[in-house]
Amino acid sequence: MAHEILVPPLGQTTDTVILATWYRQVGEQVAQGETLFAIETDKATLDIEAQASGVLARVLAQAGDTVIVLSSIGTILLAGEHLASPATTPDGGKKAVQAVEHAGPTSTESGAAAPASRRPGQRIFISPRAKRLAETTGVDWQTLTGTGPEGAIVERDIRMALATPIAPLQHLIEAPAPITNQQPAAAMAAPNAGQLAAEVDVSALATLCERLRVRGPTGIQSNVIVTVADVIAWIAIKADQRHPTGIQSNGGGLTGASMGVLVAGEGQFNVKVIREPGSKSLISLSREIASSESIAKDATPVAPAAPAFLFADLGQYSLDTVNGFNDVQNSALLSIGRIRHYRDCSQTLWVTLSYSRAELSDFYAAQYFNTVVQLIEDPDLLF
Amino acid sequence: MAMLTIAEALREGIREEMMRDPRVFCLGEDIGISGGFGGAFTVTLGLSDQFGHERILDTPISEIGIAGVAIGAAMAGLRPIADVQYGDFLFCMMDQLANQAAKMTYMSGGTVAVPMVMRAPVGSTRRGTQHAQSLEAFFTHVPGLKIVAPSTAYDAKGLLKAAVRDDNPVLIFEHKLLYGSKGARSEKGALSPIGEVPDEDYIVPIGKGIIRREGTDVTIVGKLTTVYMALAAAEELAKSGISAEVIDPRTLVPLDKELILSSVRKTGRLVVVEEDNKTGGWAGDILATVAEEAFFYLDAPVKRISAPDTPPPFAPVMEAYYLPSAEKIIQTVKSLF
Repeated sequence: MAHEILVPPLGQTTDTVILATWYRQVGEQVAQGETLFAIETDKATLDIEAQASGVLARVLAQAGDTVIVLSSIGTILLAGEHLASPATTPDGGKKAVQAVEHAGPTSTESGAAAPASRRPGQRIFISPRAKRLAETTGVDWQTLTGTGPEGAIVERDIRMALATPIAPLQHLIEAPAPITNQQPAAAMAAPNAGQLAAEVDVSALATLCERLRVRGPTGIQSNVIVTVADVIAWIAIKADQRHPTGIQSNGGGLTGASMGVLVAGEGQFNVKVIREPGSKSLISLSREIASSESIAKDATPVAPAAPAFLFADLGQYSLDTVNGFNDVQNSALLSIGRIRHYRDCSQTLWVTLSYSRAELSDFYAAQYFNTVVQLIEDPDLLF
Repeated sequence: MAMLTIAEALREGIREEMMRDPRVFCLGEDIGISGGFGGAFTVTLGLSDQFGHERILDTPISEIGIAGVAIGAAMAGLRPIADVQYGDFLFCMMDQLANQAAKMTYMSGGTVAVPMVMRAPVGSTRRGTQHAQSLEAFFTHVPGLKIVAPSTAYDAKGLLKAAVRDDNPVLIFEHKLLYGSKGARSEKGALSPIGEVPDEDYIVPIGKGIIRREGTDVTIVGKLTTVYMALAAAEELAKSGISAEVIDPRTLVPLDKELILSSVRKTGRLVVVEEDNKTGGWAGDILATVAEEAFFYLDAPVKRISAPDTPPPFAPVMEAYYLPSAEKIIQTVKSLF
């Protein structure tokens, strides 16, 4: 079996290392036990031995690249083996496409997406732990190649899939309008669209949600489950109150009169309208997001009261971020992606602010975005 | 704080309990005879000088007799610490142990207690089949017995004292390679761990296990000598980037199940190492418990390293083949990644 060259795990705190050098060129013979490559951590440079003998058939990372531990950075082929077709290689593009299939509101079981190297009907083995993780994080494990005992998919395979960010833009170009019915290409070209994005640590926020689940916000047991997305929606409002962004069309701040929350409807995206969001407590906001009625996102003509500010939890569709701002109906869209879990128990997600420059200046947007990020990373500042 | 071997720690534990409680006495073969070894492994050495032959009671060579006296004395209100020279001889007293001592509290509707301690050396140490068996798993299948298996001097004294104070029959399995017996009774290839043992009164609660080494990638559970094999393997595995957590349950019945389950929930992998025979073994039971209660946390098949289903061989080469080892643990753990 072809041997994947994995970046060795180095304790609990290191997620990425720098590939210092390859000691072998592609095409050269490699013997098990001889030094194959070197990695560099903040502490030391380490030589790593080959775990199999054969030919170094390909490398997926070059010297100087930052690589994720336990990810594959190359392949050693044994005698008589050939590289599998490109479709089976775990590259980001392929995953992005699959994620879109998965994310589409009407998508069904996509069994057909199994890699070509797997015979039809051949059973895929996955550990119970990996399966559980895949199901809670929305990873489509049927499309993964296992690296565990006897080729089974194990936890690290799911973690690797989670740690491979979906290329922004990709899904909107290839998917038939998952978020808007306008042409994505046109939207990208819109000169007055601004976008800010960052990967944000949500560990503290996740702990806060756990605590709320157990104790309720006032120490009293509450039957409302407050999700990370709910708290971030609330932060979107709170950040606006701290930094009134002075949106032209809305008189007050971004979230002054109302805000919209993007939800999946029947074959399309709908918007739930939250009135007077600034006056809501976290619990009532959470309850409202879970229950309020929605209107079709692209219903025309747009009601005059349509919210200027949209919030979207893209994570539930296995997406991380959106493709620029392309919707003239709204002033700004704050979106969050999937929660990623790391070996050191930290959690992150992508936060993206897409906005219309006609409504919001880059300066205000940056100020607002910065506050949002701060409040997410340190939710104690909320209280 | 003294540095003691396990044999010395057990001796201090017995001494303190006998001084604390006049109901406590010892009985067994050759445990108090003048010029003797102090039992087969020096545990009771010198105690007859302090407590006399009334309380350090030398018995005839009759395990049935030892068990009968101990169980009867316990039922009548004393706190006997009985000693069999080799755990294998427990089979001689099987009816008294399994049918009488273990069931008495149940049969009497809780009115009769059997606060007896039975100490039994186990482990294969080049003595051949009838002086080398590991019988821990065998006795875990007898409801009504509590079973402890100390692997350090601290635990040996603390568990012995807890056993003496417990109102149930408690079996203490001690490993011959861990005693640290000296002089004529020293063992070839012994590990003889020496550890700090407090001078003041303390007990190790029955039913509480301990994490001997923390890790994140695999849980290795061992008892007695296999704890040390697991620790050696963990040290070696760390060099390959595998972080192993080593758990020593210390008490086999009642088992500290939650300690093992919570570790497996963290690591996702489990290897249990025992010197008992594989079929119907202790390891198999732990694997089953984890498969039942933590299945969805498992990232690899659960594995056990046990002795084959044969009596322990006498030939040293065959014995080495028969026993678990750090190398076997390393090999098994690596197969899970």
